[in-house]
Amino acid sequence: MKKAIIEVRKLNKTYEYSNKKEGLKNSFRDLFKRKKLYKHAVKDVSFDIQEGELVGFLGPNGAGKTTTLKMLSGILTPSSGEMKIMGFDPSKREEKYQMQFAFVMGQKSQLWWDLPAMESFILNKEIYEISDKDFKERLDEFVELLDVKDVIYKQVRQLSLGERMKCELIASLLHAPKVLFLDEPTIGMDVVAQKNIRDFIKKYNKEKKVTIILTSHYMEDILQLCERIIIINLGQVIYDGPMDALIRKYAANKLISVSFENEVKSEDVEKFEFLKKFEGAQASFDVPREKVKDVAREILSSNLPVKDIDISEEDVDAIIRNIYVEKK
Amino acid sequence: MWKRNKKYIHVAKNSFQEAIIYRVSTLAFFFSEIFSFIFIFYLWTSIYKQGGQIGNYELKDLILYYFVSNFLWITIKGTDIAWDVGDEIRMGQITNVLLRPMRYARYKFSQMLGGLAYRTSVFMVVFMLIGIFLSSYINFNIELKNILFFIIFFAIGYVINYFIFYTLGLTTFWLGLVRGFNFSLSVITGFMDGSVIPVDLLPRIVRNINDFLPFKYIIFTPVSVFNGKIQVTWETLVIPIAWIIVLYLLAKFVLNKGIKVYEGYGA
Repeated sequence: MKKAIIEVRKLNKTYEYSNKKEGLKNSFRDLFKRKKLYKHAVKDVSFDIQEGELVGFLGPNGAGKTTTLKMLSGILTPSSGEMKIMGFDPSKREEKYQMQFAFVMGQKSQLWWDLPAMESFILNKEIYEISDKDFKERLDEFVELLDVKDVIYKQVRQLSLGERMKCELIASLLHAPKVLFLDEPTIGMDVVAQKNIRDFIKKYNKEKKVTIILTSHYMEDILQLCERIIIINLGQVIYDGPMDALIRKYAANKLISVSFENEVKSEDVEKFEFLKKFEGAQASFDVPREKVKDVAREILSSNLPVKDIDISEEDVDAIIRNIYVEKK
Repeated sequence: MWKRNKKYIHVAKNSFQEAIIYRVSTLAFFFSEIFSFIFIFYLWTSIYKQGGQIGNYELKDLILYYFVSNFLWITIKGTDIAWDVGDEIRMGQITNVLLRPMRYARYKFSQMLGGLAYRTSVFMVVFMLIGIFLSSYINFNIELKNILFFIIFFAIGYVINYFIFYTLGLTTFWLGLVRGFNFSLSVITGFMDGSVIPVDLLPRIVRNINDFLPFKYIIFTPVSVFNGKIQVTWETLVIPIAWIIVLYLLAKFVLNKGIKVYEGYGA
């Protein structure tokens, strides 16, 4: 087997923190004496990632996804454990390593807020020592792909969230990083913008063979993009394997949510299979993947006054629950 | 060497451009400066109504003093460096610098230099205009030598002020917020650096303490070099430069320790 581009062994991170109690009196007390508490944010995390893989980190908020990425990018020093990325130890923060990766944070901008994104691109050209020729070629390509011809000359603070994220991606990719960390790249975006970003990431990974780790707490993001998925919960890896196996085993069902024009009788709803929850004008069904179409069709063609119907993936929490149930 | 540091010139350039965008804020600065200067002018004129002199300052000396010190104040102390650094750490923006092939210390210094360049160019014009208005009150017969030394001491003052407040900002790594601290230090140093009153008019005991501190080199010394009250010798140069080295090493130490405790706040 080929040597992995990212190797992580028994990585741990423990934070020291103190609780702030409510009230003025307690704040005053905290001024003098604070009790130290420890949070084990990442516990014994190990994985290997091969060159060109697009791996999804999925987990609820606070699971340790971002902490792991921060250690991989050298911002945080692990409490214990080993990491090797392209042969470098990220904690040493060597320039040679920094020249070859990028970290895009959905919630933190690297662009100069009051200037057009183009100025930030030019600065990155200097920071990463990109040649004029490469810079022009890559920029033209990204601008074309992401359709941001005029956008990059507008002040960043005037951009929409979707436009800004496109510019963030361009800024991070101009130096052609070999490894790319994407932390919640679609957070807060509307469906169309999310899709645009997703399509771009997918294409970029396919064409450039760039290794990408993407975190999200949207199942949809990961489902569309990643072949391999690592699920993290409470700082631990609870699943690491192919996407389709996960779906087959733990996300075998999809969720159909129906809302009605007015309240309906419970016996009218209960005659359908897979009913999960029902209250007055709302019902939801937990349906095996292969039967989703049939059930949806049945509901729509019944005489129930359906107002709206929505089919979605189960949420992360449900999948994690399934994994725990299985393990027991 | 040149190629490796070219990026910092771009940082300075970007921050210069950003400063231009906030023209309204510059304008506000401009008016507050004019008003405070007019206020100082009339205050001292009425204090001096009976004639005489305070310390070794006659009225025209003091007006010249405040003319130059106000220029220095607005250019050197026109940005709150401690607040800027502190906010960057508190909100986690510093992450973006740390994960790129860039040194935070150089990045911040060049960014602040961009702002300084902007303020210096704008306020040089503004103060020349005020100077024309004042030319009937004060004697602007300044020797060329003094102006050249003034430029050197202006730079020294800027760097000393920069390192003091930069390091203060860096303490955010531990304290979480430096605003209160920053405010008190700014008020105290206002007296020590010569922006409120020439430091040689302070009580003897305060003056003696102040001689062992770096603050007076920020404003008092450059003004006194400009008006010729301080004759530049080796000694006048060596001490502030020694201060720069001490403050630089301290800043470097604090930054290195701080990055170790940094946890990348704000996700």
